[in-house]
Amino acid sequence: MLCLALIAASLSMPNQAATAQEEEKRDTTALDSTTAAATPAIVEAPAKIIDPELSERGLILFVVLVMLAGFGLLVGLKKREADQRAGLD
Amino acid sequence: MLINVISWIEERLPVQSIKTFFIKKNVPRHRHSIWYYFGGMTLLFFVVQIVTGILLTFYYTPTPEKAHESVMYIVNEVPYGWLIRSLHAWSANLMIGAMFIHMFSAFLMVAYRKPRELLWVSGALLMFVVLGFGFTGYLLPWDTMAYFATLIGTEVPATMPVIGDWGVSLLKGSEEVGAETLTRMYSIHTVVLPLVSLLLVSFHLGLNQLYGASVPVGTETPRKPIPFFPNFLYRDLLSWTLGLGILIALATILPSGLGEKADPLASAPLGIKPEWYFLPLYQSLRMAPAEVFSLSGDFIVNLLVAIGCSVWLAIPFLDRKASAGRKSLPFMVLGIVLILYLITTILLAYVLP
Amino acid sequence: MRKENKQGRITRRGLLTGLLTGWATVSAIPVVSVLLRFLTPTASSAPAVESIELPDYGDIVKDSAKVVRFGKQPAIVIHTPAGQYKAFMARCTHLGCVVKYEGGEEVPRLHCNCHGSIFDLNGKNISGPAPRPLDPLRVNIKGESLVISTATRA
Repeated sequence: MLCLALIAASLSMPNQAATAQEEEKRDTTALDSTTAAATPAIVEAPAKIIDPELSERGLILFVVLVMLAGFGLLVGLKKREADQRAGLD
Repeated sequence: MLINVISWIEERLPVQSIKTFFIKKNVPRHRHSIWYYFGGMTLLFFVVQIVTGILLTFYYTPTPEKAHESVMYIVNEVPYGWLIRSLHAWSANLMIGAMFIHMFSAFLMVAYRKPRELLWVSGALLMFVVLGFGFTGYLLPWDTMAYFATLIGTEVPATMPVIGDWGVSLLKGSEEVGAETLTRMYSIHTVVLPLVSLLLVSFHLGLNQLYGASVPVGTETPRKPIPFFPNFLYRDLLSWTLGLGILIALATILPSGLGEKADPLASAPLGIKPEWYFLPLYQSLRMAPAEVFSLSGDFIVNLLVAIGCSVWLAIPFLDRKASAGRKSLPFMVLGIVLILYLITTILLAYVLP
Repeated sequence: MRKENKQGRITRRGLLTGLLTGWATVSAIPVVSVLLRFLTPTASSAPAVESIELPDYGDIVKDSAKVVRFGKQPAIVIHTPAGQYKAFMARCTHLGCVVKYEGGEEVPRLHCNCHGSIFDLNGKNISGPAPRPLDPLRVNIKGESLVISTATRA
């Protein structure tokens, strides 16, 4: 359940960096609609990369670590069970 | 229904014998067993590289005009683009780190002795392939650092007699680092090296399945060996879980940056250093005197590196004692000195201005 | 693998296998969703082009046509033998090839080289596999320029 909620959260979260970016782009397109529309989006990118939001990074890290921790725990239990069956000390 | 499908497959593929093979395969248990995990760890990061690398090619454009912009587009606009790129960059570093640990542990455990000579050779070749991946991939973002690091890197063969200039032009594809260099690096990085590495990795893993893990010379194995399937596989899975955890933490906490777009006419900025795995070569070139016995210092360093690489490849055939199942002191010393040299030069390159 | 023993009780082994498979499957969902989001092209944030101006429309001689860029798509501007200007989106309604003006001796028409669809100068599909007429564009002369705009806009 927790996992599903996190997935939903990660999917619905607006990419704030991208939104700011879009606004900037709209400003330039308003000046000259024909040229801006004719040029592919890649050319309009700003001069610097935008660092992803801290909250987005934190959420991704948290979700993945929860996934991995659960996976690791279950694999650990499987390993212990398999080792007992194989008679490993 | 499912049973029918499974039995259909089993009639046509030797699933059972493959399963039996893996169940019969054992991994020895002793006090050095921990080093067995680093090969699998290298493989994990290699797989991550393939997946994230393919994803990046969907948006990356290998031309000087568009390369930097397309990387910026990936990071700024493509959903999770920054994450995929950071994973690719961090996984590259972790893969190289795991590979070096795997390689030096195999060396110190004399794992290259008969019948595993070809495992060593294929592994050593894979090291060159992996370093090639690092070098060719570094240029692709086309920022200032990448540009100048490649400019310097492609000049390295120039000091070699006869083939030097030809070697440089072969790497650059023209007289300058430019569009031709970028497409060359891109082609090598995304087509040539992946194909070569897939072949070498398959060979390396196939031989490893055939011969199993080597027990270090003189190591007692009083304990019962671990069946590869499923017991050792669970251990591998645990180490991979840990590896992925470290990877995602690095990629989210320290996402990859991107410098200014490369300007071939700008003067080189201060403090250009290659990635850490090229620092020993970088530092050696810096420390070399300008001239030794009327030979250029660079030439001597390059010559030593070339000889060193050849010796490294041929280790199983040079270490005669190893084939007799004995440890040989000179080779142990060689390995330890080499490790110390690499670590020292990396540290020096960071510490010295 | 049997998840139950002979007494019909779930074994520890079976339970663990089930949990592990389930957890791995659920974990795959965010990974796959990230992959799909990465691969899905982002919608262009630039507003759709509604009109373009052609200052050099005088270059299009009578009984000829010119394909121009209308936003990201091609549009064909026709100077008919009767001296009128007409414009359509240039993509054939069959499979999207750019149509070509054919005039001169024959009855002027638009021809698609890919599968032989033919449109008349009103954009109507008159033969070939094209399922519907070409999307028409509005043409106005404004000062020195020819203004081409989407037909829906007044």
